Amino acid sequence: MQLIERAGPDTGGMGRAQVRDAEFTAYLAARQPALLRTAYLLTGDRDQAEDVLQTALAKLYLSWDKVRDRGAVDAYVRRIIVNENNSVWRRGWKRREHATDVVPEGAPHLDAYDEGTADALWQVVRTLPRRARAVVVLRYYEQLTEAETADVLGISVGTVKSQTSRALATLRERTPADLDPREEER
Amino acid sequence: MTRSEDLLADVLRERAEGRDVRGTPMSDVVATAGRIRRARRIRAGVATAVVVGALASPFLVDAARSPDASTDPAGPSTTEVPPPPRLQDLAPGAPPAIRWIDGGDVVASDGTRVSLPFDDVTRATPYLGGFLVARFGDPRLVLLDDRGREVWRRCTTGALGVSDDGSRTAYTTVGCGGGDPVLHVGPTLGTDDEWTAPVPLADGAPVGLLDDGVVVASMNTAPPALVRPDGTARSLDRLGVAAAVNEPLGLVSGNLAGSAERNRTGAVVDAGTGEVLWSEKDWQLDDFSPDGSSVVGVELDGTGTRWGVFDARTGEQLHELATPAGLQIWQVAWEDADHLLLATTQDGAEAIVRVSLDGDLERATELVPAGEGARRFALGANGFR
Repeated sequence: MQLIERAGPDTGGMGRAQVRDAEFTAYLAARQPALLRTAYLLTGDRDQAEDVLQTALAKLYLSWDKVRDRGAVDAYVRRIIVNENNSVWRRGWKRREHATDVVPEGAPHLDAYDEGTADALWQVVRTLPRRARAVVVLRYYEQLTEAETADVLGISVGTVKSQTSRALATLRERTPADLDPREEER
Repeated sequence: MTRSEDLLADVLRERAEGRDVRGTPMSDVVATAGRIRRARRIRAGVATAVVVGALASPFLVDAARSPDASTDPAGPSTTEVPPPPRLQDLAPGAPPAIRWIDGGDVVASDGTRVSLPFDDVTRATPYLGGFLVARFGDPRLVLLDDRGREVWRRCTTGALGVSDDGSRTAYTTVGCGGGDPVLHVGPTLGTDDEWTAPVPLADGAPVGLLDDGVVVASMNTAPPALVRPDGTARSLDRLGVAAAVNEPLGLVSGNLAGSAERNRTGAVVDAGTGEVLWSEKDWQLDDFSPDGSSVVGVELDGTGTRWGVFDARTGEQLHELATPAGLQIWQVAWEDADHLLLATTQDGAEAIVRVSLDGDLERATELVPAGEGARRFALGANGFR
């Protein structure tokens, strides 16, 4: 590369708010699709996911200057999403929400692994208690470690383990025989 | 993982990633943030009312009407400005006549390109014969030599400052794990030594260079300061934040320190005396024109579409401009005495837009899809042609 010995660009003239908005907009552009998917898995409802995410992003925006570690923003916003989702549910704003705090009796029991397995599994995920569903989504979609999941949810690693175990057991009970609980670890 | 865990991961991925994704525009996020902020203030008011009893009633009324409350994005200003066209509707014009960044290329005003060995450059400026480069998502500056070889990488607190004649550049370094930032000022060309000085602000970064020092500003609440080569510093405490410096006239633009209302008041101070020359409520001031005679600002009306150009010394509004609604503006720079360049995104696309002081809009670059990470286009600053 042959560099030219001539004055060049600098972008340092922006005000603080503009810098903040530029940073935030960049974050929005980069991470919003992934966060919306996570919110969708947590809420089980597209519109609710958008509502929850918008509120979470707004709260993130208000706190943007306080989040000094930009590498920790995802964890921070995931925590807000989870909390906001729980708040929405507690406020009863979205009674069409499918998740409950108790696994409903008589949830569909499928005993055949076929092309409908994904839908069947998804239906079972939607019936998981809210915290268990959050654990499942963070562990198996976001691929967070148990410690990271515990941090996001504000619970202990032991609780993450037990929630995971119970959630998997529920899924095995209610989904096709291929998901036999006696399956071998790979 | 067990087979059920694998399948669960697959199902979640398929279910989530099979969705169409409709992004929430920044404007909606800001509007929601405003509602949340208002609600918090009302809750705070209610809490205060419980504590102070009857005295709280006036507070609650004041809180609802307070300047703080007005910091939330509100409706458009009462002065009607015809809505400008959308980004994709703008006619293509000439490329920027100042240096700009196109992906990993630094483009000179004559179109000459220097390809840097990165494709996510957010800032780049000549330094010590090479380039100082900042990259998207990386807290470190990289110094490249004149052959593009990496000399060092150091964590930094933010922006680069360049003198009007382009001969001097200022940047900061800080320990990647934290610590006190250090200001470095050195020659753009050649190999003269740089001078260094402690930055008296925890996360201070250069705003611009004046004859007798460098103005640094903080992302926190500490006021900006003028740091001199001998290591002394003088606080510009009338300002809460500094946006730009005016080297020919020795002025600094920014917003006032103090209450929320003052924070929403744009101001120009004399760097020599620290005194406020003028201020304008509900405006955020930004860069000075190349000759220093005027300064551009944006009205804090929640839309980000109303811009003004003010006389730098008196505050008289000389021009009123409008930018397309929903346009996300990343950077603003004067191209010449009559034009501004805006690095923008809208509707999933990005471009650099030229705005004339007559209000005409055109695209100075092609319209390209906005990626999910770094922007492709960035602008240079005043004084670079």
